[in-house]
This record gives sequence, structure tokens and C-alpha cells, in this order.
Amino acid sequence: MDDALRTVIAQREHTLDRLRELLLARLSLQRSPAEIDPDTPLFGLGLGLDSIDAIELLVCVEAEFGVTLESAQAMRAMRTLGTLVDALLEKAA
Amino acid sequence: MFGAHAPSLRVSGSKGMLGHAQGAAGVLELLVTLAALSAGKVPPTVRTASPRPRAPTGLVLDGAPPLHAVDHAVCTNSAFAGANAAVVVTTRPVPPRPSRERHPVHLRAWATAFSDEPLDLADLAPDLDPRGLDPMSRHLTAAAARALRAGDLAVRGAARDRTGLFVGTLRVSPESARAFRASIEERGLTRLSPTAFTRMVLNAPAGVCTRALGLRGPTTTVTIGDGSGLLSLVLAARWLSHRDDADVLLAGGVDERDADEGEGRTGAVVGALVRGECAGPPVLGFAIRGPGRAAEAAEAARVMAGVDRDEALVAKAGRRAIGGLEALVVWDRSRPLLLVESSRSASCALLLGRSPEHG
Repeated sequence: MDDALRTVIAQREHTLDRLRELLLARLSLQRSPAEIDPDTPLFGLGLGLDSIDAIELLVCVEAEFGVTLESAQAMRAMRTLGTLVDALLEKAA
Repeated sequence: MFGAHAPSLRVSGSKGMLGHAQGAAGVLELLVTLAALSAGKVPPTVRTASPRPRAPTGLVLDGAPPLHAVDHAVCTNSAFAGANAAVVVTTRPVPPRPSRERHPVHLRAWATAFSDEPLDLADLAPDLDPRGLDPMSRHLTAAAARALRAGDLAVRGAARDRTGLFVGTLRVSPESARAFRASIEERGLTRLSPTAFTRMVLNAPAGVCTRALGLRGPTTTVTIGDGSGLLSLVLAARWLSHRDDADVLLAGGVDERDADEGEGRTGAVVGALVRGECAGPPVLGFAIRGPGRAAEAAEAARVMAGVDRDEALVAKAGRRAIGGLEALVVWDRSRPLLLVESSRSASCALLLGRSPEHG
């Protein structure tokens, strides 16, 4: 594994951990961080978030990461934690 | 619900034009509906150029209002905490409804939940979503679940649609209000916490409780200041007595006291009113009058009940939403009990008969 790849993976893991923390602290999800899989859908049968939670998560992410997601961008990003991490890293790049 | 007629129904929303009028939104929407009926036009849904997937086919999009002779309209409101309402208005003459016998109503059971004792919510309400529960929601849910249990009332299947909740309260939860303000201080007005915002409505605890206990029947939250809980019992008794769309209404009051302000204990008192003959003291009389007219309300309830003056014990409502309801706890049921409340915005009275076991 080269260093560039290692950096990307570390960045992803770090962002993912911050998002998990946000979910637990701000949305009071009653789960352990390990239970929040990056591929679990945020809404519906996945983590069971609703439309109000979606806005909560969005404003928390914007405040925490200092970025603003446009509405179409946010809609795409908010499918799973994984897609949200992708959007944030893309924004930071 | 509308079957084959669904595609031909015209659907329109006024929020895009008028914004959200909060507590007045329903009345505003009704005024728009009445204006549409009398003008024979369906107002467009402004700022909506293309419908979302699965939107109603008859959506009237942005543009000139189509002329459309409308005979009947359904005005619906869906709000936070599951406060949904629908009003049907029509241009056609409506024959008067035949007056019906009043249904008997009994106070099957009642229960309390106070902050100086354990709540056992995991046992009482296993389906409760533990997220974002403020003390008001927790205590209301615990008292309601206990009242159902004390009355041996199982809420399952179709019974869910016929079991509802009426709540009297004075204010939104101080704890949630604090979380809401903190989110504004921390992140600014444009990034305030939306979940905290949804708890800034008086009916938020009722929404939590109805979801937790699976109650899908009629629900409302009322406030007249002190004695709001008694008013909710009176309204629930009247509902069951006059209507056919519910069998059980939980009704009572909840007060969240701010521990930081040294206000004392948080508490809820909830009664389970049941339509039809059953065990528990019968609701013999009830009345609502204007402010400062408690004596008139009490007299009206007494006359309706056919109970002699001096026969009933009288409990005047005290401070707070649950004020007066605590009299239920100490009532020995050997004499009728008249609960009376007079606040700055309404007066009401509820007369409970003796229990059958007192012959």
C-alpha cells in the first residue's frame, strides 16, 4: 500500500468517526459506534432517521466541518454515512 | 381513500404563498378553502412548477387559477407531533344531524407519574423511542401507560384507531426549550436544531406518548393555564359522550417543573375515560363556561348529573396543569366528586358519580 492511499484511508476513517460521534451526540442514536455501518441507509429501515433528523444532521455537519452542501448535493450525500463521507472529502479536496 | 375519484381531485397548497402561520396555519388554510369555494377557483400551489414523484395527479401547479366549480373541499393540516386535522366544507345545504342519545362514559382508571419516584418506562412503554425525550414526555407517557394498565385496557389492532389522548399543559418543556436556545447560541439562528424546534410546540409530549403507546385515535393538547388538565378531561368526556369515533380517551395534565429554578417536582395525572358501561365511577356531568364563571360551570355539571346540591364533594383545581386532579388520588368514591376549575381564559367542571361498589 502506498502512502497516498494510506492517507486517503486514514482521512476517511477519521471523517467517519467524527460523523458517528455527531450521530450519537446530536441525534441521540441509541447504538454503539461500531453498530453504525458506513453502508447502512440513514433513513427508513436503516438507522431509522426521519426528515427532521436529516436537517439536524445536515446543519450539524455544516457547523462541524465548516462546509455548506447545496440541496441537490445534500440529497445525494445523505443516503448512507459512506456517501456523506465521500461528499465531505470531495468538498475538502 | 378516494378510489377511482382520486385522479380527478384538484389538490392545492397555500403555504408557498402565505408561509407558515404556526398556530394560525389551520385557520388560514380554511379561509383560503372557503374563498376558493365561493370564487369557484382552485388557487395554484405557487413556487411549485413540477410535482415530486408520487405527488397527487390533480396538483394545481404555479400559474393562473383554473376556474373549477367546487362543491366540496377537504382542508387538511399535518403538523409536528402527529397533530393532524381535516375539515370538510361544502356549498350544498346540509341537513341537520338527528340529535342522539348521549353515550355513558366512565372513568375506568387513573394514574400518576412524579419525578420523585422511578418511572419504569422500559417496562411501561417498550416501543418508546428514547431519543429526545424531555421530562414532560417521559412523565406523560408513564402516567398514560399506567392508566391503561390500571384499567386493564389493551391497545392492539383496530383498538388503536379508537383510543386517543387529550392533554392539558401550561408550556413547552423547559428542558427542551433550553436545548433549543443552546443550539441557537452554539450554531446561530440559521443552524438551530430542527429536532429541538419540533419540541417547541405544546403538543410535542402528546406526540411522543401517542407514538410510544400506539394510540391513533383523536388527540389534542389544550392550555388555559392552571387546571388545563381538568379541561382536557372535560373535553374528552364530551367527545366520548357525543361522538362515535373513539372508545377510550386518555386525558389529563402534565407539568414539567424546572429543577434549576427550584420549581419542585415534575408530574402527570392521566385518566382513562371509556365509552359505554364499565367499571369505574361514571362521568355524570360536565360543562365549560367563560373565564370567572366556575360557579355556573359547576351548576351546569350538577344539573346534568341530577345530583343534589351538597351531595357532592367539591374539589377546586389548584395551581398548574394537573391542579385539582390530585383530588382523584385521595377520593374514596363514597360520595360524588365535583372537580371545578376557573382560570383566566375558561372555567370548567366535571362531576363523577359514586362507584357501583358503594351501592
